[in-house]
Amino acid sequence: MEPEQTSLFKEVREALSKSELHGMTHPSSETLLSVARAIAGGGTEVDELLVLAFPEGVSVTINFFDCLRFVERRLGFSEAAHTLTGELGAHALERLTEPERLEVLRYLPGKENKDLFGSLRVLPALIERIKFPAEFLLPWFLEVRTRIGNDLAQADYWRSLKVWALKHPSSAFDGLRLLSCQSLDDDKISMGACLLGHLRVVWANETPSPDGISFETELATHGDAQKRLIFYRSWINTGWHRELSSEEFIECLSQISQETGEERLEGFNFLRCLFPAKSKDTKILEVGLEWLRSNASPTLPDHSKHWVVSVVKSLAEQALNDTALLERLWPLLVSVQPIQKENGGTWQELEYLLVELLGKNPIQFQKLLFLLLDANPEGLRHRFEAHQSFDYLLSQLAAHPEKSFYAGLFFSPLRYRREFAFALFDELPFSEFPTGLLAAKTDDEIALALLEFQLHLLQPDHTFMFLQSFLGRMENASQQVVNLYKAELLRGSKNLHRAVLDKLKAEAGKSELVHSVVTEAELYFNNVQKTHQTAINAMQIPGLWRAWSMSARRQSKEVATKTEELSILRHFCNNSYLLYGGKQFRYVHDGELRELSELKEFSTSMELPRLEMIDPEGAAIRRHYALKDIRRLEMALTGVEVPDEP
Amino acid sequence: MNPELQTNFLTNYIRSLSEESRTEIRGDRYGFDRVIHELALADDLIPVRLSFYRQGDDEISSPKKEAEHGVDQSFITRDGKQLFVFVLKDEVLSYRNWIEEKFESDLRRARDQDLTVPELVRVEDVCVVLGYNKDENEEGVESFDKFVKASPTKIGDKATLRFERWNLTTITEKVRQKLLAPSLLPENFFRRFTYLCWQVGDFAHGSPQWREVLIPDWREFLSSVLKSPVLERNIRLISVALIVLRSHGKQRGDGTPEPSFETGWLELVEWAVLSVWDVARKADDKGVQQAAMEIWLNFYLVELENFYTKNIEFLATEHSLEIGGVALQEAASAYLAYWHLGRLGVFAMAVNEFGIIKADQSKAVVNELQPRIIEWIIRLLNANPSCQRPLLDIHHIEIFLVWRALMTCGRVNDVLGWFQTLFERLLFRRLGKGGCRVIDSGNSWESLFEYLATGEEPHSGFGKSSYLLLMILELLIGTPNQQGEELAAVIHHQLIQGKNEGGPKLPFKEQLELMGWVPPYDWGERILREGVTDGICMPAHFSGGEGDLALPRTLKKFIDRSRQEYPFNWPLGAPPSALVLACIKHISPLPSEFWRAGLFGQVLEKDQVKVQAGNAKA
Repeated sequence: MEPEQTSLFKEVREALSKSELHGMTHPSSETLLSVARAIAGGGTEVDELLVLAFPEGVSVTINFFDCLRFVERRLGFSEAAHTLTGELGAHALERLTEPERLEVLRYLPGKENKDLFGSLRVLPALIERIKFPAEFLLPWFLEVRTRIGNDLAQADYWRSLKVWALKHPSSAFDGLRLLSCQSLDDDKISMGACLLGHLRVVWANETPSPDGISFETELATHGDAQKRLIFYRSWINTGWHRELSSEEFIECLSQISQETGEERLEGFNFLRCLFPAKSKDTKILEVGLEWLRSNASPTLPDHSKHWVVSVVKSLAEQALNDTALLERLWPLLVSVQPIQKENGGTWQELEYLLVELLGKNPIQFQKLLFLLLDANPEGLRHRFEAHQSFDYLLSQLAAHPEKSFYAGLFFSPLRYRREFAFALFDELPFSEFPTGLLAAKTDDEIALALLEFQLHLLQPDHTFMFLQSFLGRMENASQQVVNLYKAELLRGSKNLHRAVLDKLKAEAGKSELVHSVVTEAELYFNNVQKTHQTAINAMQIPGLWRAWSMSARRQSKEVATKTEELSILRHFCNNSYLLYGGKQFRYVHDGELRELSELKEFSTSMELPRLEMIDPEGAAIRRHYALKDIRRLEMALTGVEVPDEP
Repeated sequence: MNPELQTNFLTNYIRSLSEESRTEIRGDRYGFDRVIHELALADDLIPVRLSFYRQGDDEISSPKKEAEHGVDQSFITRDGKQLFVFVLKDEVLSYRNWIEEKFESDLRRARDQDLTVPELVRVEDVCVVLGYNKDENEEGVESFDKFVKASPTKIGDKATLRFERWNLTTITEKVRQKLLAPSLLPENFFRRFTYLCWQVGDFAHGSPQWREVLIPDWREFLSSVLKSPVLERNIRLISVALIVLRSHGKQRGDGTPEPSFETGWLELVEWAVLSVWDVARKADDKGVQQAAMEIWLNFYLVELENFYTKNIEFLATEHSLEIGGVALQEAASAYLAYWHLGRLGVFAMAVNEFGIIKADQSKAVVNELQPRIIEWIIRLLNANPSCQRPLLDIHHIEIFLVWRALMTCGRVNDVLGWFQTLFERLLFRRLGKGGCRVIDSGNSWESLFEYLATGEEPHSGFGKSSYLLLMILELLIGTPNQQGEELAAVIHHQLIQGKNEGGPKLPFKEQLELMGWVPPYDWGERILREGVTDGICMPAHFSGGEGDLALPRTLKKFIDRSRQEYPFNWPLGAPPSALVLACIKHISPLPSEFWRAGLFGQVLEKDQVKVQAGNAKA
């Protein structure tokens, strides 16, 4: 052994010898990889390392994986550390008899293994070095898959399957055959596809297998669609391992296109996985886009829609300034609408795409947003209004210089556009309409926006901003529109004293209209104030106090639950319900006193619209009649009669 | 309270008292000797001689049977220098009574005081007071004056002698100034009434203590004062008790009256008038009926007038009934709105009844008052949307009263407009688009508030039956206007049946069933003292669509048949408005005959189906 190598081994030995983790420095990645390579090549120092890794000898219990975890922690928890740990694990297994090896592996998916994903990290090395019989390994892989469930940290599992196919093709082929004899679900199809996709590479490059080719052909033409799906999906794995040729790509897509049922949907998966990387190839691009255009539709299952969105997003992100391509892509997104509003993942893909566009191509951002609005107004509005939804996009929009890009929607004769405008206004308010916009609108369009306003309860501050932004336009409006505006301003003032009336007072000197509204609203509040605690309303009401306290308790519980649900802190620390004291607290951990802390009080308040609570039925009736007026105006603007809601 | 009326009630009470209190076979007699005694104590005088033996708590004092009857009571000042000797008579001071009722002889004996007894040795001034709780004539007064002139001005060498005459007016005024306290009442009520005075000074109107302690105690007190046999003075005693209670009402920290006591006071008067009518309607004594009518007219109705005159500007202020806080506001304000609508409605009804029975100059008062009350009602309706929000089925009473008030003034269009508004709002509520979805047939504010706070329905029948809506339909088809029938058909079609012309059925959460009600045969006997909810319930289903006349026809048929089969026995001796008030107070449904009689005429006896006694009792 070279002196240099000797020192590397020494470093690893020292790391493995330390009993205290706290404060230790780990060997570098280069060191670890060098040692891993050395022992993979049959270095003699492996025995010494194995003694350190398994001080009580290689155990045929769960302790085998516990020892490997211990090793990994001492080596530094890096990719290089995983590799060296895997090598040591493989050497350790080699020391055992085959039955003992199988016994050790059986512990991996077992309940007693508290660190399944830690164990999975060493699995590729074990599978690579030791040949296990397919009769054992296939059911074992299925068991591990079941144990993993929906957890997304499963890359090492699939890497192990890949290694099995690449390093032990005959065993893997046996496994594939065994698998294909079973009743297949989506997981098994993916496992089969993974094995076949990599076996295909081995058969083509290293070990030709006539049986394999024959088996593949059999799968491709099998009467059972699930078997055919193994074949189709296997091309994805092949494509990930080595790039598919254009012919392979087109041929595969063409074969999928011949399917009719759910199997055809595999084409979306195929494109999602391989298309973006191949889109530079014009031929493939055209074929892929045409396939999507022909197959994307509103009736697709949710996951297929997701794949369409995913493909389009990937393609668009590669060509954010290619307007021609982008405008060919947007119809694909439109064609899979409506995407259900609860499909957060798909909407998140769209959100990220919109964010990218906002930064790089604002014109296409607006174009896509409005296309989505027309195609799925309810879904889009929901995503903008729902809690913690589209937060990223909204934060980017808030920072964007042109926030009033949607201002024109307020005056649209299409109701869903106006509704969307109000939903967006509550998230991204602006204080002034773009120059010339209001002047260009007719009185009917202005009235339409004001009537639509009656149907939406904006946040208090936004109510004021919205109403105020119309003030200038009233100078040129008909008396009817002015009356409508004045009524809204007055109602807003009565509804929201702090948010509207108090702010309106500052404007009273600038406008006679505002002055008269302020005067009237102040008179109203003065009169109401005079009646407070007078003989007409001072009596106590049976059941009211009890109901108030019940209502408050309920509300408080809801707030606490919601806060806990939405708090990021809950992931890092526990809740403590302090008992006595009340101003300061000090945590005690294992007898140690932590620092003394002061309790801080947080409170927030929001003005609620008074009139909605004073007269809820009246407010509903008002909205009902506003809707009737809206219908009338919509008809005047479009000439199309919209039926009344019941 | 108006001071004149207060004096009037005190005068009537004192006038109705005997000379001395005593327990007799025909009931307790209350004497004004106790009033004089309490006045003397209020002046910090020390009793020297009393005309009665003081008994324990809750017992009436027993009169002394002594020879020196002329001197009823005497009191001395704390320094022992002044002696007051009272000669009391429950007779008119007239020339005839001067001799016959021993005014002169008793005064003479009272004048002849022996000031040598140890407790009077320091007396320097003797004042002989002739007190009588009736009126006098000139001759009687002249006799007294002559007697005073003929009397010496000194007793012995050391004490001056003077006379005073306290007639009914003087005694009343002294009582008003010094004795608006529990001690004004007979001693057998003193302890309980003292506790009541303390309660009204401490509990806020509507508070749990008010409802659960004060009102039961007050009603028990009323029952004990009005226990049989009931004499005029028992009724008068109620009015005096009310006056004293009023003077003890809850106050703010700065000594001004607590606003809640204003309505609390009205509630106390209401329980009192119901108790009074309950006994007066059965009494043969005209004095009793007269006293009952006085307390109804001059006490309750005048108090209502005072209250609403003083507060109408508040009530007519937009959203004045919206009490602070946001949660549950819609129900809290409806509670207040219907409280006031009920009182104004009873007031309007009572005034209208009074106008019918009186043909003299009071008719002019009624003619002036009635439109004023209607205006108050309309201003209240216009200012407070909660008036359009019946939340309990029992609110049919207030709706009936408003309807009646408006109809008596011929405001048919206003009635139709109001019902149209009620309908629209109920429809939006039932659809769940705004406000409380249901009208609670359980008539419990506690349950309703709990439902609004938690969203949990208190029972399976919650909001599924309505007497209120059946009443509105009946009122509408009885309206002398085709539009009434049309509106009834629309309400039935949409609000009850949930039909929506040209569209799908309205998505109501629950089906609503109309409920008729036949009160038990003894409703009139019981309603003034208790809630009456037994009788016969009649789930009513009518066919008929919007815009056709099937509903009016079938509904009228139902009305005719039920009236013939179950004729209503109108209780005599109490004004109908008092009966309606009783329904409000006892949360007891109003018999439909109250509106049917006016709308569809009286049922003739020949049309009535003979109902078997068993059925009637059922």
